[in-house]
Amino acid sequence: MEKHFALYLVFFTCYAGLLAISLTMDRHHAQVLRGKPERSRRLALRLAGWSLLGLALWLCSLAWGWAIGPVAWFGLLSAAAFGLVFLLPYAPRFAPWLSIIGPLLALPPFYF
Amino acid sequence: MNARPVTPRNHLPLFSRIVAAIVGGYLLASIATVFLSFIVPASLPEAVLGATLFSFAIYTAAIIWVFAARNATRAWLGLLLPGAGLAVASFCLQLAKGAA
Amino acid sequence: MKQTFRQSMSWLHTWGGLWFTWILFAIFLTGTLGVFDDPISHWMREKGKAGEVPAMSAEERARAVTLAQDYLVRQAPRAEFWSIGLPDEDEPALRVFWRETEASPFQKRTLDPASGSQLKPGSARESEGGHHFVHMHFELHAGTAGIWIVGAATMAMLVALLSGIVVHKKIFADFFTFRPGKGQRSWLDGHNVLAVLTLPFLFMITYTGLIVFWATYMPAGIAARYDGDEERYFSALTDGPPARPRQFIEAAVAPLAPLMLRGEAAIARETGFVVVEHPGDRSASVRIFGRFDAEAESDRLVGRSSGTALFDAISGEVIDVQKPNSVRGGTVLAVQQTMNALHFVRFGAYPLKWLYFLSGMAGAAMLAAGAILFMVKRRKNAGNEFGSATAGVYRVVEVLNVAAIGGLVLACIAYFWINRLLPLDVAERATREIELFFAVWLATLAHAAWRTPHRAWCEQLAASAFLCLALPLLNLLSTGDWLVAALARGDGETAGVELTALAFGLLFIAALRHLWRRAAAADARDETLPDATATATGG
Repeated sequence: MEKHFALYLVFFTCYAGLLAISLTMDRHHAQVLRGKPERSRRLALRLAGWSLLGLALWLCSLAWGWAIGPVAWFGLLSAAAFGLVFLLPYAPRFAPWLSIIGPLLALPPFYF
Repeated sequence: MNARPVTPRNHLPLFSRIVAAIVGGYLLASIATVFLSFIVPASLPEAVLGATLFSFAIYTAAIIWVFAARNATRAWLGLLLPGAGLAVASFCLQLAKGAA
Repeated sequence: MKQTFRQSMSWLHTWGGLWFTWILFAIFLTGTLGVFDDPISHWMREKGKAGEVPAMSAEERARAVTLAQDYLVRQAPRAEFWSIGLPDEDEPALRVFWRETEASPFQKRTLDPASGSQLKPGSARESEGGHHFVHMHFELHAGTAGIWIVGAATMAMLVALLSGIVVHKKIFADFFTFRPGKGQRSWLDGHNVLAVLTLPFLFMITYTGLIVFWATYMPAGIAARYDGDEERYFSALTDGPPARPRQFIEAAVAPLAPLMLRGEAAIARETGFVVVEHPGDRSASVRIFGRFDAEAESDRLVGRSSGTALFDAISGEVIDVQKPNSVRGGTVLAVQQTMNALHFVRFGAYPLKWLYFLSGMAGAAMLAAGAILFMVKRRKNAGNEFGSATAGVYRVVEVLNVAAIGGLVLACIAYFWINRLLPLDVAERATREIELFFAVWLATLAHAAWRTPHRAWCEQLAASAFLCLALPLLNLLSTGDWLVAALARGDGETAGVELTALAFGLLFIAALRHLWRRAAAADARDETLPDATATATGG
């Protein structure tokens, strides 16, 4: 996988995963979606979140191999988490949208 | 210890702990390195390296112990007893090596 | 003194952290800048404008080595070692290094590879470049003493990380929590979140930092098992040939050029460096180092050997050949080399370097937030930790916070300005640059001691912001090159340095605005000014 594309893709995969995990917490669920998450939603979000983080690790291994991949994964995980942590207090309603808009912005290069 | 006025009486144990952490902890880590270099299952140069790589974790643990111990005396004992034990063990291992 | 484990760890974290935080901030900031030492050197030495350096033929390399040898025989016939760096794509000059004895300082000269004459200052922008930050990072430009100070601070960092985890009870509950605009609460959130989100990086970079200097910091193993004979130990560890101690019999070094060519044939690679140990003595040896192939190694975590060939420098006999990409030593050595590689991030090219840069800056910001939090807490609610001296100690902490955080940031960006403003023909220009860097840093300390904390923070931030934002302009005025021209010719290194400076400039402006707004709000509430300094950020 091309490294810069991997960087981009993994960043947003990590972001989406961390967002899902943050939404399992009452405080952030209230910030972003209002109200408390139901038990079933909490479980679904947790599953989705960890799966996305796992997917991100696998993508890293494709781009960098299993020696450097995990290092890149940790770095991107931190970077994505910073994005999320600073978005939550300032623009909480936008946080879920970023997980959709971000990956979409990566598509145009494929058409050219 | 927090927010307590500085007087000579509570100054001394604190000073003693700082010395224990920095000097005592380093000596314990050094002795542990020598001891580990005898028991790491690798060739001698590799065993020395492996023991040293681990020694900084031992030093860190020793510093944490010194400040977590109930008082300065216990902090020192917690360093000196294992240190003495490891030193004796290393000495015996060295003798055994020489005899073999 | 009955207290819980968490209380003792809290005490240890606060006080152990405080006294080391300034030096740790310097280590983190300069180390993080050092990730990009090559691009910074590229910018400082105006490499972007120079054309491609043509590759040298074997005859040209042989000639250059002969000229370097002639120079070294004249300058330092009985040095401890000589080292000859052949021109490459980054450095068109021939470089010679030597050290008279183990205790004397390193000497470095740059020569013309075609004539062997020493290049006059002024013919290039002589500068340490990004290496200055790397040296600051691991030895504070203070030699062995600096290495030990950095080592002590690194141990303190390890202890502070562990005790910090114990103190921070709600790591998982607060994992994503940052509550801005709440004074002390926000500083604590910021400190915690920055540390927690980079915790794996912080542990890795701290521990591997100690491992880089493992034999210096923890010599007990080698002392006990090898009688402290490091040369004998390292040749055993790396399956190398036995060490060659000095024999104190005079003997001249054989011509290096033929040895170099034989070495190149043995390892099937061009030479990057030639090193001669103990020139002038019967024990002299010559080592040919193959050129490092950065591109081929960027996909590997641990770079492979570039190949070396070792000769007896007097007889010319081959002692040892290590082919490129071969592996020596066992598993434990591989572990240690992996740790080194993780610390130096020579792998993974720019994507990985940027992630290290980001994580390192987060670490520096975490340290700054911690230092500022200490004072924010006490401004609101003074403890009485030092009896009647407490107020004085607080003032010292306040001043050191400004100078060590805001002041170092200012000195680092000022170093780029010094590089462009210092005349080219100044003697020992590279050293002067570094002295001026320290002079600026010292001036920020005086400034911090003179002004109130709020003013000191604002003024130093404003100065840093200006120097960052005007950097492309300075480059344009002083050299005629700048961001836009660099982008147009695809010179990402020059452009990257200036774009990063611009980004930091904008960050400092944002921090300044925040400070001013808080100060205005505090004025409106008719409160005292000092509380507003609580919102200063370290960058």
